[in-house]
Amino acid sequence: MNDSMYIAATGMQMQQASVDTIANNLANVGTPGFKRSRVSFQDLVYRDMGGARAAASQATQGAAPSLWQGSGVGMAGIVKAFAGGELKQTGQALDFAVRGDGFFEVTAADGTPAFTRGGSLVVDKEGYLATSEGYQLRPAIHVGNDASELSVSNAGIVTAKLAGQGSPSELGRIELARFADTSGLQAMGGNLYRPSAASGDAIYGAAGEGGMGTVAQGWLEGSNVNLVDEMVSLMVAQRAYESSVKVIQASDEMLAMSNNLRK
Amino acid sequence: MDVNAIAGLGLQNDVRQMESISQNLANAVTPGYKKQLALGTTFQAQLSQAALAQPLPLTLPSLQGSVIDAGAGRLRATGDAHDVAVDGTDFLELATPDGAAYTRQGKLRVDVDGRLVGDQGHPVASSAGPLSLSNAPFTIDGNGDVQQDGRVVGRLKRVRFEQAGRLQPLGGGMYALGGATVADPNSSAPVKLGFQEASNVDTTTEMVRMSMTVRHFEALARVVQGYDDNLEKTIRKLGDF
Repeated sequence: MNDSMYIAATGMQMQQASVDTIANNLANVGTPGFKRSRVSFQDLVYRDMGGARAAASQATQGAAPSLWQGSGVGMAGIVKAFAGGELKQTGQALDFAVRGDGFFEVTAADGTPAFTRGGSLVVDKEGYLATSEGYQLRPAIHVGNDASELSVSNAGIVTAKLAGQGSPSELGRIELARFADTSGLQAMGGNLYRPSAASGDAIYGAAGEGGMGTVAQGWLEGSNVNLVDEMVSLMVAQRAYESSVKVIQASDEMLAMSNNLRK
Repeated sequence: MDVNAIAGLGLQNDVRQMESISQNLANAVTPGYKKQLALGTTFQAQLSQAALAQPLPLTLPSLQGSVIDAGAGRLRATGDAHDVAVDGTDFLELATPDGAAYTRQGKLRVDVDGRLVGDQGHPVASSAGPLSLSNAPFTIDGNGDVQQDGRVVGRLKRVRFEQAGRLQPLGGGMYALGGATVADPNSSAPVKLGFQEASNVDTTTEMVRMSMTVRHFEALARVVQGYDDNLEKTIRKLGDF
């Protein structure tokens, strides 16, 4: 009896999830490399309430139309939009971004590969290029602690002037990775992503070749959150939440009335 | 006919109406959602039907079924070139394990196996069957042609229905054929790229329906109470004798 309340409750839950996601997006509007998320809504399964009815009533003229009763709204998933954020020039030699498609690969704390769109790198105490959390790039690039004039070309070739050398020498090449389905990547926080069954394994390639983006040294990718869009979504979610609340109130009123049928 | 029985069914129908309103409002922001309408037959329609065919008994005013409103929702710009919205009211076809399903949600992507799939992960049907794409970028044009590496690999299939309202909702934005019939399996409705179709639920209409339903429910409840009062008085009077 009165599924409308349960249906409306799904509406409230999903709008709440939507507001949570928007809050996370808004909180990260200034986080370099952040990718906005959105809740992907879908209607839930339907049940045919008409079949039982048609069988019960003897007056079936032709095929009785079905009475499909829905069960509310659900979440198909929280999907990250990997649209590029605006690139901002910082002039820092260790700030990196990918112009176009592609991820840098790093080794996460547990030794598994993780992927990032860039950020401020450091030279760790062993002399390797690493993220600020200390995750080394993969394949590892040894710069050393006394190198100067570190430069990375658009194609990802790292050169630096080592101590005691007059001219810069090549230290390695940063490889980029792509995924069959980028939206399937799992966010690990810290702008790191992990491949999943939905994203497929990484497809490696050289920067600037075969649809892969190029490496931009001295640039950081801004957050791709659009403030106006988020504010509009926030208002829509709030009002949609409100309408589900009204349904619950109205259903409650109806229940009260039916309870009062007998004085 | 028993007043209580009629009022009782009316109350039940209002509860069903409320469920469809609740469903519509819960999905007011679900992309590609089509609003549901509960259909009833009026007492008058039943009377005239009964007059035409004698054996047909009068039935109580029960809900006859539900249809979807297949009207198009507004298009919202998403800026993602792989978001496809079909102009008009034609549907995209998906190949699901349970057969063909139809959807208005055109959020296309390439899955791990290289198949072009919809938001629900089912392959999209095209003139060349389900499409397999390589890792290279692909584009879709206004005719629904999917292009990769400069050549057309297939054209997105769009299906037009007769009595689209009778499509059977499956959830997840998908519909099965149900009571509808295919009018044109290869329609040439243009597709809009970078757009997603919004839900076609009009919240104002639903709120109006809701207040009407609540008041109707209230009126019927009063009928039952009034009838109850009558019975009570009758019994008391009879007891006086």
